[in-house]
Amino acid sequence: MDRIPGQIGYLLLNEDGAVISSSGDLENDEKSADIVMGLITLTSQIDPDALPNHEGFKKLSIKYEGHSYIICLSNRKIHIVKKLNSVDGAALSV
Amino acid sequence: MGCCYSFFCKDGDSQQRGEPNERTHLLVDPVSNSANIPQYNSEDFLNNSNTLPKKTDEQSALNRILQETATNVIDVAALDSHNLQQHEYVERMRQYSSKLQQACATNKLPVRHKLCVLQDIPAPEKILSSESVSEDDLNLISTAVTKAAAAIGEIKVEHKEDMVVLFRVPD
Amino acid sequence: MEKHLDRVMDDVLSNPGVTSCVFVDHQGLCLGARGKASTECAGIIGAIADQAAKLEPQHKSPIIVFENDTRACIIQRNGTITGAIFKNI
Repeated sequence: MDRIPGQIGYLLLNEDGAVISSSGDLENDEKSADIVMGLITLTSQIDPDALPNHEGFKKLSIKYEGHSYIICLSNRKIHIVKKLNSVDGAALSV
Repeated sequence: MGCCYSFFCKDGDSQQRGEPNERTHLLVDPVSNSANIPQYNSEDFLNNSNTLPKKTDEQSALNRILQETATNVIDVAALDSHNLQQHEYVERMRQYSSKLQQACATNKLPVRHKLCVLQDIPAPEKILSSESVSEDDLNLISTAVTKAAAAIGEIKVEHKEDMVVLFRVPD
Repeated sequence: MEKHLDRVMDDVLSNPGVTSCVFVDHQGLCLGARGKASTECAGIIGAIADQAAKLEPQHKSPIIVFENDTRACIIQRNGTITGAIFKNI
């Protein structure tokens, strides 16, 4: 279970999209799990010209006004963290 | 779903026998002795003796259909619970695994390449708590897409000349 | 007609580190592209923005950031237009 500063929710999925564990705002949130799975399995690379050598991305952030979702893939499991945007003098003006 | 309309008309109307109409009984009268043979009015029996052979044909056809269904239907409830002996079990296991091996060897199962835009990383905590892109970049995309939306909204057709013109035919 | 859009894209590309930018309409068709990106990624960018918006439909469209060690791809939708910026970090 990852504990990162500002975390308000956590989801751990296996590589097929099934929920392994969840907590906080994302507890039992299969709907979000499905949406995130749909998002990361859309493609293997966004643009072959802009990002050559088939490099993947390490981190995906989905930023809203007050909070963000951070998603990464590690050991064939998908980690999704919902955290509050840090308000230390650098508030997001989205 | 079974077909439950009666093939035989009950009333001897001007309607052709065998053609269902709004008075056709959907369910056979349960009081009758034989559930398969629908009831006829007594007059029909007495008056129309030449319809008897036709009735037997249809009856035998019905019986044939019944027989076919009975042979094809697998009655799950009536099956015996066939308890496998240990040696039978082992024997079957061996047969199945050898069949599986053959199948797998002949058709190479394709590796499932699942698309994923993310790459597998060893330390998720590091990435999850790492600094994100700067706020400047976020402002950049916001302003860029707002301005682009405004710019695209301004794209319109310029009316240079009339599209519909009158062809003047000289007199 | 598209002079304004061209100007917007040139502005974006003038920022340090930005390698390319793409603008996409609601159907995933490319409205404009500058830099190293191809117009073919327009469909994917539109699809990513649409999918991410489903996460919290009651909120305004989010900013989607893909990052690795050297590059970032930042996507946001505004109304019917989706924009994507590729930059080095």
